[in-house]
Amino acid sequence: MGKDTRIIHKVFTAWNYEKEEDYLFNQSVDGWELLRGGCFYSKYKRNNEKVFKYKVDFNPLGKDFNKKRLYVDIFEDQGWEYVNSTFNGWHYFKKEYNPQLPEEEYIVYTDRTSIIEMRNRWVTIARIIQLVMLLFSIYFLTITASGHNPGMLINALLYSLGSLILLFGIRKMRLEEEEWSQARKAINILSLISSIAVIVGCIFVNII
Amino acid sequence: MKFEPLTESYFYILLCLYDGPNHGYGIMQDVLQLSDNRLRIGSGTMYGAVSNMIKKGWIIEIKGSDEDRRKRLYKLTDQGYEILSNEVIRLNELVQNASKVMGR
Repeated sequence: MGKDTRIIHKVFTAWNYEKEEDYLFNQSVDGWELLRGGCFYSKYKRNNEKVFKYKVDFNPLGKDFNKKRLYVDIFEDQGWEYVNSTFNGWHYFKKEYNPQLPEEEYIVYTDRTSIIEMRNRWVTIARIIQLVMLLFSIYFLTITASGHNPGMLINALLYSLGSLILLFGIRKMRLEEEEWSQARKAINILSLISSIAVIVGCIFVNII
Repeated sequence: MKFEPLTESYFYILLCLYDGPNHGYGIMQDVLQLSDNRLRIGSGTMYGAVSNMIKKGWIIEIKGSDEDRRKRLYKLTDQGYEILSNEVIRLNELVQNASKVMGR
């Protein structure tokens, strides 16, 4: 024990999921096979015999067991081994790496439509959280400004920062060549302005 | 019923069920062969297409025979057959019109 397993605390953001796959592959090349993947920490065991390629896929399947079974079965059909899932809908798969095989063996989204669908599954959820965070930050700023509770200032600040980070992530997660609709563009710009306005508001309230 | 163009992946999956039930790996292999190794349907794309087409009622899952009980078999429904046939008619029209304009 001890030297045969290890835990690495490293934060992977959703929009960097491809970098996470490369990172996990490099860990495997170094002899560390993934036992459990996650957004904040991951667990590995020593394996100097086999090298694995990894796939990190976003698909919130809910509590439906049959759906999950079908999902895992279809991946296993093509030689992927299920590793684990996180609470928020990310799934980890591995496949033994064989340099003789074509690269396509290790691609799971093979057309544009399905990769956009996958990324948009995340974008839809992130968008809701981002807007809720923005509303919270405005709410906390107004109760601070009206003199009820100055301690709420830090909440306003944190929620507006959270909203900004998610806005950035949503931009990253959408494929570059994909067009933004007018409505989405408007939501982005309004969110950006409001988040910054809340931060400026926080500074302003703090000064007076 | 309104028909929309199918993606290549959806089209080939339906096509590979035309001759009878098939399982996921079988579909992937058949598509690869039919398209002369050009089109490979990865697991993520396959799951999206299969679960969506089950939801739409174009295909259903059926129980396999004893030997491959563990494998999931999919079968084209009447609606799926209609969708596929209409898509072939639409594609033929495209090719015919292209020939008319391009003079071949």
